[in-house]
Order: sequence, then C-alpha cells, then structure tokens
Amino acid sequence: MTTPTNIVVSISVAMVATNALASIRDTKIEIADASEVPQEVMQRIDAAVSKRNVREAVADAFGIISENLTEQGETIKAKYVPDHIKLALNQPSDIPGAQAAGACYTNCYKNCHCNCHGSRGWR
Amino acid sequence: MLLSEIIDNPSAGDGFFREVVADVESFVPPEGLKSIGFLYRGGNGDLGELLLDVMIAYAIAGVEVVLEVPAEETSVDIPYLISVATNVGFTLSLLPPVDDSEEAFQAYLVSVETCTDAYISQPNVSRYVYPVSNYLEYLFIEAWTGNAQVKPNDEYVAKAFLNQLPKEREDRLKAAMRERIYRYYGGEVGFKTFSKGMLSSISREVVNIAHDLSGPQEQVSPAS
Repeated sequence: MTTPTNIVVSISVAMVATNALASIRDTKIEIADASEVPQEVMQRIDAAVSKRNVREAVADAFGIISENLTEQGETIKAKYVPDHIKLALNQPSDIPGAQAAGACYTNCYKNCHCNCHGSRGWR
Repeated sequence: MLLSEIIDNPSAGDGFFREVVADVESFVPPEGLKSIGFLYRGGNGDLGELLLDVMIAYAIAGVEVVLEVPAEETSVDIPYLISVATNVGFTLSLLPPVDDSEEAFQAYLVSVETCTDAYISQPNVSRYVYPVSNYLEYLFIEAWTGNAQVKPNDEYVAKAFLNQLPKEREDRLKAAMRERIYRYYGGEVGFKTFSKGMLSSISREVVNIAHDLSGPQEQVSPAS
C-alpha cells in the first residue's frame, strides 16, 4: 500500500519533521530518493515546507541539519558551505543574533538550537 | 497555581509554569516568563473570554503558551481547539489522566485517537499538539534512521508526559497513535514513503540555504 494521494500536509507536520531532523545525533541520513512519492503528495509537501514558519525553522536548525544530511556520503555542510561560513557556524556569536553578511542562518543557531528548543519527540 | 500568583511574584520559579488557572485579566506577561501552560476549564465547551484574551496577549508578546486540557474534561471539541490553537498561536496539550483507573485511561486513549485523526488531517494546523506531534516526530526519526535512540530533552514534554503513565499504558497509547498515523498515510509503507518525501523537500531547502550562504561567486549546482 502506498501513500494515498489525498492526504493533507499541514505546516505543523512539516515543522515536526524539521524538528525531528534537527534532533538526530550521531547518525547521518542520506538524502532520500523521493521518486516513489506520488506527485500530488510531493507537491503538498513542498507547499508546506515552503511556508515561512517552516523555512524559518529549517534556517534556525541549518547548522545541525546540514551536518545530519548527506549527499553521496558527504554532508551538506561539507559539500556546499564555504569554509569561512563553516567557521561561523562552529563559533558562537559574540553578539547574540548578529548576522554575518549574507549568512543570517549562522552563529548562535548552530550551537544553541537544540539546547533552547530541544527535541520534542516522545520516545 | 493561579495566574495572579505569578503576576504578584514574577521572580518565583524558572520562567516555566504549568497548569495555571487564568483568574485575572493580564495583557502584559510577567517579567521573565518564558513558557506558560493554562488549564482548560470546559464548562460550556468554549475557552472563555478571559482565558482567550490572556493567551492571545501572551502569545503576541512572545511567550510560549500551552493550553493544557485535563483528561477529565469530557466536553472538549478537539478539532475545534486545534483550529483555535493555530489562529491564536498556542500549543495544545492533552494531559494524561490523574485518575489511574482503566476507565479513565480508556477515555484518554479515545481522546488522543480523536486528536491524532484531527491533527494529521486538518489542513490549517501550524502549532504543536501534544502528545501527537512529539510522537509523530519520533516516527519520522524511526522512518529515516531505522532506530530512534534519541531521548526528548524538551522541558515541557519531559515534565508533562515522561513517566506520567505506567509503561504498559504508555506503550498502548503510543501503539494507538502509531496505528492512526499509519492508517492515514497508507500503512507503515505509506508513512515511510511520505517520510522520504518530507526528507527530500527539507533537504532541498537546506541545500538552497547552503547556496545562499555560498554567495553568488561560490554557487554550487545541487545534485539532482
């Protein structure tokens, strides 16, 4: 049985998935091949993930998620993020909330996101 | 605990309060307040003007607001509360029963099942709904990693849900949520397929952010 094409994908479910991805430790996840996902479902997922709340949540957790996700065995961070930005991602900002030029996802988020928000998953 | 007690002594506690009764009007959160759980008191089934006003004011002020629905409340319209939670901006939490009888647990189980169905099938939901959201989070991790050796460190989940039920009942509750979630997404296989789609979509967003960070001169083509 495959995923029904009439399912609803809410912002909350996309936020839950984002938080799940940000709460994983010591496990790398290879970016999934989503070709088996029905097109209608994929469109709804993309629509939910493109909402402002979800994009902000992804951006907030970028430092962690980019280390958890791998593409052909290499983390997103290692593959796409330039070294000088990696350095910023690894350093807590001297000024909370400070934004490096063109890098508003950086600094305190990487180190603090899970300490502040935590994993909500009920295991 | 009464809201008026927190207002009178805002420095008491660590800024996190649970099971608070809104007994006075308040439009400015007490200093230092970070998270507050207001107890739902049903009566005629609506939230009541006082509670609603306080929750709106506090949520707008940036406080994490949770509406805590005791299991003993029997006149709760859960789909309605999920909608209001999104509109007002609060998190919804169905508290486990205080009464340890099997009847009370069965009633709670039915409420959580109803809540699970509503949460995953209502389109305009943007807030967390405990315990469904946090269990769904676990199922995502399980689907992606094959195991889920991650312990929750969210303070609210730890205080409100962990060790609040005997293990056997906790397992039954989780099994019920899993069953409802799997059923909605087309079984375990359907849910895992959906999870792959979610992972793929979030991954694309992460790669896009990485490209933004790279700047125009360091753009890297994303893998297809």
